Amino acid sequence: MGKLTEIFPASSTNNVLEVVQGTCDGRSITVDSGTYTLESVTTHTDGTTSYQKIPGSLIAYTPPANTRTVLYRFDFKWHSIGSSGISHFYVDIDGTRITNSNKTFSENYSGNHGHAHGGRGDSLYWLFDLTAGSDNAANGEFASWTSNKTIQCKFRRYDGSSYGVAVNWNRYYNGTSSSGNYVYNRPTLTIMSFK
Amino acid sequence: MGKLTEIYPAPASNSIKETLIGVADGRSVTVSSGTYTFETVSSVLTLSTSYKDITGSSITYTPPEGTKYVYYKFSYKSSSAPVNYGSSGIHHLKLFLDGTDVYRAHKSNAGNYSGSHSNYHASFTNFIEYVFDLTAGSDDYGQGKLSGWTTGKVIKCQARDYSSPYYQADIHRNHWEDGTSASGEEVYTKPTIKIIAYS
Repeated sequence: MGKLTEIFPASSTNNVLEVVQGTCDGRSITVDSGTYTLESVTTHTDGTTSYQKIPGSLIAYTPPANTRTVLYRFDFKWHSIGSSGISHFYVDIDGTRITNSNKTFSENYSGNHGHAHGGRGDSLYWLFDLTAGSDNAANGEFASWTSNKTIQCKFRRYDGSSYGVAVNWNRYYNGTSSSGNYVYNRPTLTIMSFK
Repeated sequence: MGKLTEIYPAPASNSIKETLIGVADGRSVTVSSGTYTFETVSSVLTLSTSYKDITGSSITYTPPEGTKYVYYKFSYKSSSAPVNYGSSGIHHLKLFLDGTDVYRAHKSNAGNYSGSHSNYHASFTNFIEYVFDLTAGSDDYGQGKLSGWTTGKVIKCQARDYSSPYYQADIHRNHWEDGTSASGEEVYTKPTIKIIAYS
């Protein structure tokens, strides 16, 4: 029989408590803190001049006990509809906009608003700090987090005329305009809880 | 007294020894190897044709004992500079380990060139990353290879513009927000650092 420390070695220094990660196709993922069902994305979504949810980005999450940091990350496809596609994004938690998660994406302006080739993957994320003395949702800081909080990403286009944008969209595919299942791209949602 | 398996839990098969991740807002994060304080980014970084440190990218890190690989990723927002010559915002990146240029990590980022240098809409998330190999027989920082790493080493990034006056970029910048010019807190984004130590 070996030494007790060989049979029961010290626990790993790994500080990752759990990872929820999946393609937004309606799948359910079970981790220590519960079962989470991701949204099912089956089409692309055009932006308007009002903020709206990016389909696939919403999750109601409760981290496991002893979590000190929660990473929320949403990877999605972005494509210009018109001109450079200037568009605005932010991460929202329980209805509060996280101020420093604001991002503006766009391709370069071509000098012609009819040119709209800009398209690429991009990401939105925030690291929630659960060690704060008091809650400050706008900064992503919480004194505790013991029940579901809803996290989602919101977006809008710059204006209603020249700069259009769509999310989860492939405009082109295989050397031509996309069609069928190639028109939309399913995003990926990742949550990691750290102790 | 608890159960023996609670005192001595089964070892994880996971090869991740620790993950250090944070937003550059001055926060301190404690992991097994120590407590690390991230820089505070509170403004846009304007580049020039000389390399300068990218604010928010620097951290002095010591991996835990038994680490074989250290992954470093710095994610940031870039934007063509909102000046007449911003153009595609070509900018170049370098990664440094304890003052030595890790040349294998060099990278350039840019938007599409529009045919006019006065168009400067290119604006998106970028990153620079590298995996340091701690199993090398001898140190070769330029290729990110080390024979060991037992004390704090500074990892940081530098950037410069492609040229002047054309192709200028700003780091951390949102030029627009909410359908108009960005102002106040909206003008800049705070970057993130992620470090993963693997056994």
